[in-house]
Amino acid sequence: MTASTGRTRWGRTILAAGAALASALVVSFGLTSGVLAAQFVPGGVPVELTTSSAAVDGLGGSADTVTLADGTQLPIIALNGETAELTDLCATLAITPPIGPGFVMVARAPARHASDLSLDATSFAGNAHAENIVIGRDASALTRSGLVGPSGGAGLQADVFALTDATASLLGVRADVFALDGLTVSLEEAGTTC
Amino acid sequence: MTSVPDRGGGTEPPIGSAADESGSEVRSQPRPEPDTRRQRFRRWRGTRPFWAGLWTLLAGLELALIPLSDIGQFFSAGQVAFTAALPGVVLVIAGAFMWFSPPNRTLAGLLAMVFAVASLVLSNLGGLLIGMMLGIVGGAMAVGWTDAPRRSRGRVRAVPDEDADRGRGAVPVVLVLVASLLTLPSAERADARGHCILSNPLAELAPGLADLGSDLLADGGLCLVDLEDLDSSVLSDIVATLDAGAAADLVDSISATDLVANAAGLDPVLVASVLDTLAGEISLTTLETERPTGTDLLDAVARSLPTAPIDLVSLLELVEDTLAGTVDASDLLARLLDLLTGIVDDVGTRPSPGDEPETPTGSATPRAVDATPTVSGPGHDDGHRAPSVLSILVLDTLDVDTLRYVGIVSVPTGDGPLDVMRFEIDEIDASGLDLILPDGVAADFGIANTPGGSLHGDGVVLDCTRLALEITGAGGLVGLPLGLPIELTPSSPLLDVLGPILAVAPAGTVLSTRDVDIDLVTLSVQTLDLIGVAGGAS
Repeated sequence: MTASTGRTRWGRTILAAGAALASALVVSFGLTSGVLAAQFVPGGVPVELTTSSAAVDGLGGSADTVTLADGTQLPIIALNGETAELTDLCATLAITPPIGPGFVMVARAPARHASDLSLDATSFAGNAHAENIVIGRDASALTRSGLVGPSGGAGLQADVFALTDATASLLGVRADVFALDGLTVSLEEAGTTC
Repeated sequence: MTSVPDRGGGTEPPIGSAADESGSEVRSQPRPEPDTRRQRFRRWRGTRPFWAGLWTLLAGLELALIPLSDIGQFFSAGQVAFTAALPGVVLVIAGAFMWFSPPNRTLAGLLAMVFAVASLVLSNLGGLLIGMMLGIVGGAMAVGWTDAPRRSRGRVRAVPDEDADRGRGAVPVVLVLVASLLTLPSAERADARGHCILSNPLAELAPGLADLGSDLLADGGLCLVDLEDLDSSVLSDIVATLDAGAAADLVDSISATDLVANAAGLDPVLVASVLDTLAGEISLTTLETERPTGTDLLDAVARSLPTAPIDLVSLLELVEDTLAGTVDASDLLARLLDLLTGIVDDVGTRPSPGDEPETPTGSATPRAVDATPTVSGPGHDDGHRAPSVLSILVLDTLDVDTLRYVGIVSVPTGDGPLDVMRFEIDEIDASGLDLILPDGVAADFGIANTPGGSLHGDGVVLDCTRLALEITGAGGLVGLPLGLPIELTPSSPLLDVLGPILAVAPAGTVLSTRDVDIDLVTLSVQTLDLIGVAGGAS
């Protein structure tokens, strides 16, 4: 095949990029208005999360283990809520780029609604209230929420589960619908906490 | 000869040669010396959208490496992590195509842009926006790249058709991206609503239903945003529009999932007993394995509908009344029974649920106690399966109000039946909680009271294989050892002694204990409050 020297046609490039950026803006609007759900899979970098109250309807949970890149086995509790109402939510994610100083991404929202919310927590703290909670059910046979844990493992489930003044360190946050009403995201200097 | 100056994107003509439109001519010219590696690279770089591919590759790596940075976490997260890594992987492939298959650059660029935008939703906010922006820039540059010679005034007629075609090539870019945008929220909407109870065939059967309003139409089918949107006149219209043949089609098109999910006041337990009675006629696959929810029950009913001579008008009226809130649970059940008796004629000859053996959360062996065990309790429902590995529950102090020893119960686990001691307690107050949840694989997760924390619970059912504690106050019960550490197991002789005492403990008897250590199988609590609790690696 004949190889000829090419070039970039900037008009077409800008047109294509403009369309993509417009699409990204619409998606961003969908994210911030709660139409679309964002999905976070940080992969070993914990998200630190605080909330003044978290009310979950239909909770499933099970102990699980993740293996970090250095081979460390880290116990987590995997939680899944059919629906969740969170208030005064704040999340921080520490980012260390290959070059340059590290920084912290801080996301805040006054209230959020999520459905099919999944959290992989390495730790949490707060006050808890639960209704019809069962601790000790085969983690692969839970009937509340869609969580399927390790077969034979100890699972828990509750019709209602509420946490107040809660903090958590999360390795993963996922949701089918995550309404990020009033979301603000800022990049702040390393060490910033909620 | 027309030279082709570099106008961006880093594409440059080969240095040291008069760039010609024909690469073969360039190569045929005698060279003073063989190409240096740098020259060869520059020529290679100039004949493909090099910078577009580079940005796209970097975008893909950045997007993929975040979820893939911890491979163990990636696999444990499963499908979700896969979808998070997917945009990055596609971008890497697209970047490779830009480099090694330049004729496919437009498609690769389009895919790169679509997946870069999608990564905003799928992958950590587009790799913290960095990967998404790189992907958009790379994809757009690939679309914009051309190996056609620059149009000059003197040669404007030489390539007009090609340029015109490529000009139109930007149109699909816009269309594809807009389409992808419209698709994403649409899918989310459908998922969030999940209330489409009537599908396309009905729209053909009842054309007048189009008047219901455009908000009821979605994805080409008739989709009810919410069942509450139906008022009585609409229901009447539906019924009036249908002839006998259409009614059968309508029944086929009803998704009972939504019918039941929206039927307020439907008591799953009551309906479950009815359906158990009818189990010979209705396929209750779900009920056999799981605790029935309202959704399951309606599903079961719906599965029976297409083949059953059911009164459709009555069914719709029932739904209407239910939505209007003019029917209570017992009335609803009675009317539902009336409908179902059209399916089953011999309900009276069928064994009632009470004649069937209780579905096992466990069969009790009334050893040491003469009480018939009650096996109901929160979480002890049909299909309950206990974990194969036991949790450890430790409490500094535990006060129990009205504890009753039920007996030894055999509960199902993944490794076969397990004999456990079952206790029912009206109310508990505890401090110094330390609960260790094993995952059955490697590590344990602990949940513990923080200093000063406490636990309060009502309506407790405790299944355990070992209970060690020290009773400090017996609340008037005679025969309990006070101040001594005791340990109970299903085979412990001490259980034969203490079991009968605990089995008949009068209501209101409060036992105070401390240093409680339990090999926990299942703990179910109707209302549980934990003040000051923290979880983490134990």
